[in-house]
Amino acid sequence: MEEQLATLTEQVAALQGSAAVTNTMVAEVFYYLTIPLMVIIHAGFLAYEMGASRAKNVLASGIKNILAFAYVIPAFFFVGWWIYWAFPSGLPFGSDAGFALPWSESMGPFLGDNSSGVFWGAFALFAATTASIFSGAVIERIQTTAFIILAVVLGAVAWVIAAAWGWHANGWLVTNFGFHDFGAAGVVHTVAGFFALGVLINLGPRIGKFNKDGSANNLSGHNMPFTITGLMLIIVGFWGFLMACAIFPGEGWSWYGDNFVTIYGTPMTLSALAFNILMAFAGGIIGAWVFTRDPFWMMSGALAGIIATASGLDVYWPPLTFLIAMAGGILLKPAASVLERFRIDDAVGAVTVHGTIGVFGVLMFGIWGAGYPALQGEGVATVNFIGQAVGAITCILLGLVPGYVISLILKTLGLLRVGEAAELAGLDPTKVPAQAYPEGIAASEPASD
Amino acid sequence: MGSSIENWEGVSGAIFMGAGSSMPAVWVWIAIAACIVPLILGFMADAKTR
Repeated sequence: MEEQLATLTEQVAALQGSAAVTNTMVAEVFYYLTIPLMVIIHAGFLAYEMGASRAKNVLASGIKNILAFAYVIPAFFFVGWWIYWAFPSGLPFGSDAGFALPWSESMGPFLGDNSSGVFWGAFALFAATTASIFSGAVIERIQTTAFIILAVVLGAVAWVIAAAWGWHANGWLVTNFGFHDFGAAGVVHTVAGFFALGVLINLGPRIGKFNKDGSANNLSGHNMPFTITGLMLIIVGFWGFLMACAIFPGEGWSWYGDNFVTIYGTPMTLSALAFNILMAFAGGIIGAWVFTRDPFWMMSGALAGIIATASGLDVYWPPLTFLIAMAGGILLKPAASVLERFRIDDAVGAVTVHGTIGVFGVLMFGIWGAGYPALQGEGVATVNFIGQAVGAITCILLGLVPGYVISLILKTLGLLRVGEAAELAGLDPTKVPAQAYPEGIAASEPASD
Repeated sequence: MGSSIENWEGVSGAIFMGAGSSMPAVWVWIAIAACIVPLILGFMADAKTR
């Protein structure tokens, strides 16, 4: 009997060990897969803004977007990851974030650490997403290198500070104000949207966008189908983005052994995401369709739907998600018109879709999600409208101020904008040693019988 | 930098080249410089379209 018990104990221990290894491997693969899914977001933004460019600027817009990705990734390795772990309490004094410094052993091949690299990769793609959001707003007139500097400031510093403060269980916005932003409507979308606004104020509109009486002209992109396909790709990538917002169970760094949690440690399920993302997607499209009938705004409405509900995708009731998303879609066009009245030329609607709707989403959760505990444990802060408003204002400032100040410095140095002659001729013929459409873009004739 | 690992048996912890030495930090600074130099060249190229 004792011998059998000893054998059973051994077998149970072996099974437990095996289960733990399997859990670790699945957790690692889970985050690893979010990375290529989020690269699809970048592919989507690439198609989106190339399609929204006129034919004379299409490759220059593409180059800019590709370089945003290429520069933000190493910049996030060098400083961004450390900022996220060092800044939650406000400033990095006394932080123990040495493991996230770029020369730390955790930042390279390290047996026994199956999480740092995949977490870093997922966050690096969040960072690249912020730069991509900003990229589309400034097409057809910004200098490439000025854009790279701005993208690095946004992707490796500005949004990361917002994430440390409001997207981290120790973030002061969370612990003090009960701020809740599950899917980063504030810390990613609002920051990036308002960063773009800060830059646009200094960059100015494209030549021909506004008339002397202040009315706006429509500078149509050369390929609407490409833009719409790009937007759909962004939606595909959002599944990876939101998947990476969930903390896998059963690991040393997990809160629970048997359930996913949010980045704040509050319980959630992937089922909640499936319900709410799809309902948000649908609601946003319908909302935009009602008022615009325009496929560009309809697909932007899909994005707006998800961003409008992103803060509470973990707990929203799906029909409410649908309605909030629909409201986000309805708001889009009027919000974009307000910007144009101030002579802000946002070529792809990035300020509206990500900035305005991001703020809308953060505030909506303050109304509908009020009372939810923001963290685990007794006596923790609860979600409330004031807390969400404080979070939204913080995110606006973390985007707007650095975007405005850095672009003002670049403008003063004469580095921000291409010259008038180059803009009129087009950036492709003046800057790009390749041709987008060497055979033209005329439709072919059908074959004759 | 090379490898300090002679046998994979029982190896744990960092396995990248130069682990435990000061070289990884040196490569960080070289990589940062390698980002900045193309940026300077990019500024010079952009000057043609100012």
